[in-house]
Amino acid sequence: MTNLFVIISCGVLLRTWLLQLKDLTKWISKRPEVSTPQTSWSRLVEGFVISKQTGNVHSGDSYHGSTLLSAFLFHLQALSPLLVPAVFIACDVIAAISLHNFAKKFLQKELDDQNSHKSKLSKGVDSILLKLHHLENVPTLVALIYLFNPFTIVTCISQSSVAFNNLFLALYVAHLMSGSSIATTLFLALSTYETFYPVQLIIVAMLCQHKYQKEGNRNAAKPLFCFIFWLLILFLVSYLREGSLESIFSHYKFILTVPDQTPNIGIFWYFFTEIFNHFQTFFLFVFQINALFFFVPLSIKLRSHPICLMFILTCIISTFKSYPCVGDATLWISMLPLWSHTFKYQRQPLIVTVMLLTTTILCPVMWHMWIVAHSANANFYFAASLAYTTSHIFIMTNTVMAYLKWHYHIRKGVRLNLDGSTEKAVLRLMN
Amino acid sequence: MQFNILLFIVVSTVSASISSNDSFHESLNIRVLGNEQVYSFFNFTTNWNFENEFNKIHYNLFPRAIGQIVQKYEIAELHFTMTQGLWRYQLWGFPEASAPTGAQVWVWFKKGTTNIDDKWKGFTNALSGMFCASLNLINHEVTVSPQVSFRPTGVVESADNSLLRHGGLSRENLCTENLTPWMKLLPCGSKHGPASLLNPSSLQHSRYLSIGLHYNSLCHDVTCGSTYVQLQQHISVVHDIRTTLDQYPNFSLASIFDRPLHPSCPLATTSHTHIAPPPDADITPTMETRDQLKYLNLRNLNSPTNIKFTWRLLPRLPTPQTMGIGSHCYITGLGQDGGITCLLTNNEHSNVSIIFLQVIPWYLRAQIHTLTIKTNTGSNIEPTWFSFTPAHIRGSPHTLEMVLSLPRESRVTLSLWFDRGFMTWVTHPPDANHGFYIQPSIITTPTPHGVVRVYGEALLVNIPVPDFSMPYNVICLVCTVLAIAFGSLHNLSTRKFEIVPKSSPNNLFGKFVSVFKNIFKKSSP
Repeated sequence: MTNLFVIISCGVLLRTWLLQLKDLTKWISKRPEVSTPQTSWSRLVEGFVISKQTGNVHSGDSYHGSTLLSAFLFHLQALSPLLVPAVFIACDVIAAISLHNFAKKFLQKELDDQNSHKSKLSKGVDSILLKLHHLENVPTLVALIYLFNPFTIVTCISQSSVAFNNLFLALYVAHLMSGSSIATTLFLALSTYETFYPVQLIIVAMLCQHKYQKEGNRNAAKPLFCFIFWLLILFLVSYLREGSLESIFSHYKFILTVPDQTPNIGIFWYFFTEIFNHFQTFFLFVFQINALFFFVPLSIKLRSHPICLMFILTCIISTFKSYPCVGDATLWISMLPLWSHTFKYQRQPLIVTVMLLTTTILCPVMWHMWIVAHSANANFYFAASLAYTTSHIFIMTNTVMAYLKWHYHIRKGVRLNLDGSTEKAVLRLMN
Repeated sequence: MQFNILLFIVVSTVSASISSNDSFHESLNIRVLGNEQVYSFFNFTTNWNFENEFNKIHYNLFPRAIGQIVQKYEIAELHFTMTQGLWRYQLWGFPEASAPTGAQVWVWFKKGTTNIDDKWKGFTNALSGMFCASLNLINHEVTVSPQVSFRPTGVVESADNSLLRHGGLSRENLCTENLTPWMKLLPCGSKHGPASLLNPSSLQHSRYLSIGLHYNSLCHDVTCGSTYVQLQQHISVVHDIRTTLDQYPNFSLASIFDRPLHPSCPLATTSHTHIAPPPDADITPTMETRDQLKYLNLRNLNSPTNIKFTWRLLPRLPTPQTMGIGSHCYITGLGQDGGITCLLTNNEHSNVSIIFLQVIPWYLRAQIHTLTIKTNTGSNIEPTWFSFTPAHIRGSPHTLEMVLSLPRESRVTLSLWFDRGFMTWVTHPPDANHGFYIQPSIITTPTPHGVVRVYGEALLVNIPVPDFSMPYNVICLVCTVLAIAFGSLHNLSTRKFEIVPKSSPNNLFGKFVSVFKNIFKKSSP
């Protein structure tokens, strides 16, 4: 506990120090990797000023977030301008604490699961099993990685609204194991209300209800109804605030129709900049289905590992959403230590990690060369962001594959051989 | 033969008597600007009383092309200018008619007009065909309806600003192909009167050239019991005197226009020339003086003449005129940021209220919260009235309109930041690296003599362009990344783990790697 307290206070101090370096804050909040048309703070301020003129924060094409977020931040700003950075730091802290609690509960449940199924485990797998020292160290590591991840820090000091999305998702996962459907779905509804894609995670809530609840209490449909209920409440409140049906859904329209081709770290912008008008609608459907569809096969395959499913769906959302930023990636990067006992089975982890780091550094360099120095063109930045996306894909598939391999190995032994022979054998995915 | 002559006389008398309700007036005003430029302003006005509908009228002096357009698109007032060059207010004073660089069209439609946007589009296309200019590019991305800047100059039934449309194209160039149809609208063409000086090649060598066409309805008298329509065509041209080196600084109209001044158009009711005499020059032929201006009645001329200016003393350097209101705008910013800064100067001895209008295209995301208005002493100015309409993506532009009070003898700095936006590959114009124009800022000041407009400079902004050679490559690369993800996830969800024997690889690279590994295995003990 004291470890956690030390980590949190160091994180808060670091952010406070960085926030008072005005030039750095201003430069970072202009980075396209950090703030997108949906999450940018300056667009929100622009929306405030326009709403004073026209009465509607969504008029014009400046602010593309949700109504309630703008209302909340507007009133906060009106109370005191210092309150807003404090709220963003508080978001990070609460998210880190939630992830810590979640990691503890999850690893405890996994350990209990493992111990209760000791009979099914093969001999000689002691070296790769989940152990008590994992339970002691990993939660602190999760909180540490979340708070000190450079992606989280830049999101906090640029006051990008992704911080709220991460907070709601962290609170959602923290309540997943506790069985309280109402709390879980409330946070998921808040996250879906802001950005559309987390709607896929409702399936995780239903599967968790099925796996972690006692026999009598199980009601897999309850999360679904609670979720719809919370969403209706949120839209009702925003309708009461804004008074126009079109404007409360305008941010969903923006996310789904992708009209703005501002560069960001995703795959949508350059593709839709370069295609012919004739194919625009078709490819829009293809890309959005790609971001929204994977929960179907994955939830069938990973139905008995709902937290792994949640991890991979979070990765898919943060990689394939229409306006991603680095802040979307912090959540699942901080969850990687949960599977540290399976890292042995990852393929080329070093290459993939270095690829992520290199592309993260390359992107701002290429941006500067294109926009400021005019010595490069758009392709350089596009290539760096494409490599960044590819590294995300590799990390997520590696992690899940390693987890499934670990499950196979603990049943069949660390060294594999075909029945009756001493020939060397490997694990392959076969039909 | 005699019967034909008689018939001709009868027909022309009859037609003249029918069409006696319109009149044509032409004038030429010349002013010498310092010692380097001369400003000539040609004004051709056609006034027409008519009581009936347009299609039952016999067109006499009023051009039928304009009449048909005005009738078809239900236009109450029409103003069209095309300009090449920049009017230097600080050096040259005030023009007789102010116009922004490029093309500008603003129209008041009649009360009760339906589908104004369709009519506006049809009208700009018709005007574009008539003047051989690309006015059809005036679309919803450059059209605005300002609330206070462009009030009607004549009589209209309704002044609701939803009936007003204003479009500007700063990129339009003024060529002889625009001059020719314009001159065809004049009753006498370019054969008689001041229009005889309009030599296209000499006009193209000028410093500043602006043609204008204005149509509106005016009252006959104060009670406004009846109205008449007026069509005003004017040309403002500023020539360099220095182009004729052998005679410098003496010049004549023939030396700048390359043509003599012919007597007036026979159809003109009045036709005259006013010249503001420079203090140290003599003007030949001698002319009478009216209101401190030299006046020449072209109806009294019998043959083509030339007006010569001869300097008695060596001309001095021109002194910059202290204009009442001046404006200078420029672009600031580096990289992704950009800004517009306008310096508004008030040289009058009292506070002046102005209306400031700036239209910014949608692809430059103006940040209205960065708008600052400061005087040169550093104090902030609050606008008396403020209106900002934000832009829509691929739609209407940002419209910033405000009423400001400029303090006396001060300079006010107005600055606004914008973000450079990104356009798709197909939305870029053919020469994408030329840059994109921001329409000039428009300052409107009501004065006792009427409404005075001062136009700023048209600004050129570069926005980041994508690589135009890359559509296929981009599609392939992005789809490859998607396929990597899809393939891995597909494998993950549809396949199970099985133990298989570690077989020798069957591709060339695998064989090479296994041979390499075997060498190392053998060499290690």
